Amino acid sequence: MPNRLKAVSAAVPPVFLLALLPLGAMTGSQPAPALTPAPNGPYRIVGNRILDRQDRPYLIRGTQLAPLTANLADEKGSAVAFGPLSATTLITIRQRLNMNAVRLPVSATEYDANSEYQSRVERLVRLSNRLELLVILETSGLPHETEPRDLAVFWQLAAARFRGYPNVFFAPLSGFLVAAIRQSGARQPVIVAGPDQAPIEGPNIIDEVTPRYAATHMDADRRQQFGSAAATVPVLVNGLDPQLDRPSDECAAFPSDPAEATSLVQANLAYFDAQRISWTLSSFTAGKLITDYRYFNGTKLDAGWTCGKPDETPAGLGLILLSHLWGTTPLGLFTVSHSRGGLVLARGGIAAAYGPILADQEMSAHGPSLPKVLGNVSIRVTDSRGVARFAPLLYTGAGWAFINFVVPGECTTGPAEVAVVRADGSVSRSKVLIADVAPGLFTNIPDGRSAADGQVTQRLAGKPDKSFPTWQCGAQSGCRAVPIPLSPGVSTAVRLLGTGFRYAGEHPGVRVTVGGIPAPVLSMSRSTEPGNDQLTIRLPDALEGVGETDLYFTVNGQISNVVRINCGSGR
Amino acid sequence: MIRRGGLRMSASMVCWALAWAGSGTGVPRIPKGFPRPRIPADNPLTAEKVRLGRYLFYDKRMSVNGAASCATCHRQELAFTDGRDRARGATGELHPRGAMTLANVAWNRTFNWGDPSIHSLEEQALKPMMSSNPIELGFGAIEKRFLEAARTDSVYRVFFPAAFPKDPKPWTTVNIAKALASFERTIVSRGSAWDRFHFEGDESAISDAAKRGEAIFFLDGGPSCFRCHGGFNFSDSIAFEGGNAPPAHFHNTGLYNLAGEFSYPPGGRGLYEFSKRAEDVGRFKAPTLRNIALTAPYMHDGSVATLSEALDHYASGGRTIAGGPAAGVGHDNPQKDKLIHGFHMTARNKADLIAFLEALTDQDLLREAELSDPWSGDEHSSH
Repeated sequence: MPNRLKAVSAAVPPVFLLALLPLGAMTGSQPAPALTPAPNGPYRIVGNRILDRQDRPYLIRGTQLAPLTANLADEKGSAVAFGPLSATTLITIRQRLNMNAVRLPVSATEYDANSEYQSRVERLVRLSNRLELLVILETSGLPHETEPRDLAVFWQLAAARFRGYPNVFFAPLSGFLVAAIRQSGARQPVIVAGPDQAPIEGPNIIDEVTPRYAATHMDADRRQQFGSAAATVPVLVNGLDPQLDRPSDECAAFPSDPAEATSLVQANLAYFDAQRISWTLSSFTAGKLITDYRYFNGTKLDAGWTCGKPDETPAGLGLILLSHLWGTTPLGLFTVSHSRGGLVLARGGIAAAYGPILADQEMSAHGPSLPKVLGNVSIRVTDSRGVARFAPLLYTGAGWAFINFVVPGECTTGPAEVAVVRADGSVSRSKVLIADVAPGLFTNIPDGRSAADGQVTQRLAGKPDKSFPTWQCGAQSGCRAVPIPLSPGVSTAVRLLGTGFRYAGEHPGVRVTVGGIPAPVLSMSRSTEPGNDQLTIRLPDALEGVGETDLYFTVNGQISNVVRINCGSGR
Repeated sequence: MIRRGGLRMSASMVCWALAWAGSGTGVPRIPKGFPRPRIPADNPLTAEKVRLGRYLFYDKRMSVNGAASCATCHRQELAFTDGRDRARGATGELHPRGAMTLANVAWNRTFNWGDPSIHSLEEQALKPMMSSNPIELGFGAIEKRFLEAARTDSVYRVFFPAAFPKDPKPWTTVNIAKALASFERTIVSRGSAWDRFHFEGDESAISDAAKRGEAIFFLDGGPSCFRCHGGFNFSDSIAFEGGNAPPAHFHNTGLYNLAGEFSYPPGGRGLYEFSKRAEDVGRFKAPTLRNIALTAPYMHDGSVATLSEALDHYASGGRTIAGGPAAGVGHDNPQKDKLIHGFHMTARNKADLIAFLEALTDQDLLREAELSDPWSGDEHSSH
């Protein structure tokens, strides 16, 4: 139990701090946090707005993915890390960073020549859309590295393939390629380099700008480069990565003081918000927004940087973008739903707060009656009606650490404040959203991404039931998902442990996906342990021999974290 | 004749004293965030005792040659330290260890670098007075003379009876210790910029660099400085009323690793000098970090000159001394505390940590009139 709870802490870098808060007088002056809207195409451009299928304005808040190469590990990962294009990566972008779009760089030459590669692109696009991310297709490599004719072929093929995908945009950037896209019948928005280039005739065009830090210090600079244009056409700012990992001009132009640098990035982000400018910033790759593909720790500026000196800690904008999208500042308290790691907490569910916990000592609690003080700290949850309650506590770390607690089930949904209240009278606050449902699945090790924590029961007519856990730890192999021997004639049920879905209602809409295949739900209930829920599913025979794969589910439209399960063969 | 000015104390000081004495207010006026300190039942805190203790603290007549007082080694402008690597007694004898700060000693669990045998400030006060190896104040040699003189001294003939009204003959060494302890309990530091940030929520009180440094300082799994320098007093050697105060801790930080039987130099072997257990060699108390920017040089023997050097020492998981009689790789000291594991520290991290440590400086403490020398200036000239 303690391990499971600590998990979320490891999943999110300790210094990620979140604050949100709604209720002016109750919780301070910071605005309430908001989820970036999930994609809801088809989209159309009206004036300077991107409107979704319900004519609601849509702002892109995304980043670039790693390019899709011929290497299957891009998606499947390795023994020690998740793939840069895996479902785990995508759900992390959506839930942990609160982004709603990704740029997918695709090799034009590979795509033109390789149908399997085309299928992989489509699979990835479909997966991204399912995980609430709009996909902006673009070509990888530098423009001069691909023949113009190959580019035209690529965009014709890609547009034809994805013209029925309402949550896909195309980013050929060159105006002459727009025609190739439109000839395929694709009507989605097309992103072209602008606004300096000649205007592109036709509807649904978004202008992309790639500003440089060296020339973007003041609002006047921003206005000149993209602000003025944004008053009349939709503008997407791309890039703005300070390239701290190399001796670049951008790195040289970036303020060397972390506070100054943070202020500059924050000023850009605030300007984008104020002018309703879309953005896809930096890239979700190791050394840029994250340090690694195992824990997805966000990069920071705190430790400084030397523009590419070997062995330095990767520095980047990860923490700044995250804190901006969570409506807070990079240092302070950060509260997330357990396992899922998002900014929405489920009432009755387990949550974790990170940052200045500063408990006297590390302490755990168990059992049906949990304490409301551990290590001289408490968690106070003030809901949208201003009612404050102290939360039952499961674990607290000391120092700059994390604390696990159960969100009081009596809380009203909506914006709320979670505060760490210490015996010394000091308080650290964060802002969250409380909902009825924020489904999270526990994992065997504390990261919210690894092997699902559950129990398998297999039934074969005339034989006793066989039951075993979904994971095991070996001295040599470490902790892994156990292969579940699937075969026709054997009924295989898996009881998955999690949190955040006990208040889903009497007839919740639940959909479970395992390895891309729907899995029937047998039951959903709450456990006897505080905050613990469980979901029992049947594994379809079609998953036989799939191996380790992704498992996630939605409850009333809310997506869980993505965990791993191993579907073996019993034959 | 003591005129009115000589008796004057600030309103806040009187409140402190009265409150801690429990006389009337019921609830002690302890700084926000601080627990109630332990005060011996036989020495309740009173304004009169604090006043007497202050005069004694600054009185050079307490030393064998009239050259030193408590304040010689505990200077207010240096957060009640002396700025020396090792303290010097009234006769010039060198103490093997440096003078520790007196800020917040009311909450100390232990009172010396490596001596766990002193359990109260009253006991501690006698130590520098009576110590003969080395001589600190050398009070023992002039004890009788001083007490006799105090009976007729214009200040003490009034202050002693006022401080100990039930004692028909209050001019005693025991009462001196009680008065000194009482005064020292009022040396409270809780006015740093970090305090305003932490307790009052004043976001502008400390710099962004200091905020980053705070996160590093407290980062569990990182430097974890707070494991030894945590809590309200940034020390793991604290005691207070009604709390579950941790046991007294002493740490070997890998400052030395001499070849031979003992890895630390003679006279500076820490807890070992009292326990005689091999595993206690080099174990010293983790002092408060409040006002640490003012209390250089650092470590028990002042062998670390700056905060930057101190951070290098901890980041390396021990100090390496390349040559000379103290040569050795502290990182490999067999008695080193497991908490001294070393950590990666960039130049920026170090600057931020120093900014945080500097934010623990309490400027008010350095200027607090009630803690200053009453024998100089207007206060004493009014006698």
